Amino acid sequence: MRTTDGPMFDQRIADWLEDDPSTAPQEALDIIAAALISVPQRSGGWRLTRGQPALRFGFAMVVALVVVMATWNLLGAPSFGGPATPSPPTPTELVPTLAGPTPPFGLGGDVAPFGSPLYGYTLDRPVEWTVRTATRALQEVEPPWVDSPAVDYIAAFPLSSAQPGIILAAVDVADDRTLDEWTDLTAVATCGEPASRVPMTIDGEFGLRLEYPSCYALHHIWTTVIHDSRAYHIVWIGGRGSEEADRAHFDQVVATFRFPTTSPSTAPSSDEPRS
Amino acid sequence: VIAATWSRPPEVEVDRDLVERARKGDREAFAVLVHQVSDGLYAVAWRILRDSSLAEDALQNALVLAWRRLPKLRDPDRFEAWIHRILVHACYDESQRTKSWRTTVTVLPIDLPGSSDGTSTIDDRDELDRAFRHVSIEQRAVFVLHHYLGLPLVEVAELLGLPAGTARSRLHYATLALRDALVAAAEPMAREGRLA
Repeated sequence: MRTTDGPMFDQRIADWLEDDPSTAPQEALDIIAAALISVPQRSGGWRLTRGQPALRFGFAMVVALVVVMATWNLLGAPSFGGPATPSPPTPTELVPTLAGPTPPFGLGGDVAPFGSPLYGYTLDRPVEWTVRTATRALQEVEPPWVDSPAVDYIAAFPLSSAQPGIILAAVDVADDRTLDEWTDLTAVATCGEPASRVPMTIDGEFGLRLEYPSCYALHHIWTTVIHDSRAYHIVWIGGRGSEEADRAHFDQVVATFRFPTTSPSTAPSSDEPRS
Repeated sequence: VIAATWSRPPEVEVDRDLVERARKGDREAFAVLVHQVSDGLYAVAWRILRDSSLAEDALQNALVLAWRRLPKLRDPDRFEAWIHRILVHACYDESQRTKSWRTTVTVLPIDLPGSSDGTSTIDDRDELDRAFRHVSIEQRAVFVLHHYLGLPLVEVAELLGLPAGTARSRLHYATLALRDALVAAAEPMAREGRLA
């Protein structure tokens, strides 16, 4: 859904925001000044200085040991009988990001297969990335918000503002619903008219790829496709300034996408707000 | 995007030296800092909480907490983002604290003739006020930081420690509520227009 209905809409909300008070009452400032006289600062914490090389070395060793142990715990003990077999994902699974360097944003490194427990599709994801799986079904024209329980979310840093991430969700649609109609009702209704709208193929099915340089201030590549009366969202969200690399990485992920071979499971819907 | 057509509030240049001195316990330096940032912080708190008493309390709590925690601020250049984060959490606390006992007063709309002489603006403001009060405090915070302070959504997310997508959805719901409010405000006038 578009967030504006025209210039008047913008100006009325802008006026409303700007007309509100913008000066702190002097009385409030006096109270703060009085309070600060008696409030002590907290200690800034203990810090090593240049004059303590032995302590600095010891501290570094302790930190290194903690990192190694944490990584060991996260990875689990290595299997000596062969490569470890990843367990199948379960709903609400949140795989923690491993300690170490910044995960790569593309598929240049190792990949791991991912099968959606709720929606049934599969794809390959960067092994370092984390996965949060959907716990309820998406409603027909509900936007696939990243924090919705109706989406699978695969991201480099899911618990921070860093990007990028991929949102996936699917919903049953009527047989006579066209891809263009459904795309307009979902992607265009959420982000407006895209900068580009081009056909593409996903696992042999005709799809649409919409690109938004800035939807809610984030770069979006929003792909829609219908397969067996089920419509899918595959949405890349990334920061601005890395669009070229984002496209390449997104294409790599989408190229591994496979529709479910059997009917996906269904889950009860919840009372999430809908637009 | 809405923010593109809006004017930002005047930016206050925070003196890095003052932050550094205050960080080391200089109360006078912090007093000057308070003088520099208090209007801006109060404006943000007021817009999130829509109440002058709550905004004053949030401002006071935020500044006192900032003073106590200032020695732990590692990068003085991040002072503004840091103190806004403290302020927003103070707003959350105020909202939560008052939720349990505060009676919601519903202002009944006054029957004013619809006209083009400013009455519609009053109607809009009333509707916007009412609608915004029904938006969650977390959604309001994102909306105000983005549209009033003019922070990019990614920065808002970073400031609040949120995934960017979460910030985006919060902004969406807040914007949707305000847009619906304006539609609601326009309906009575449209009806009058049809009857006339």
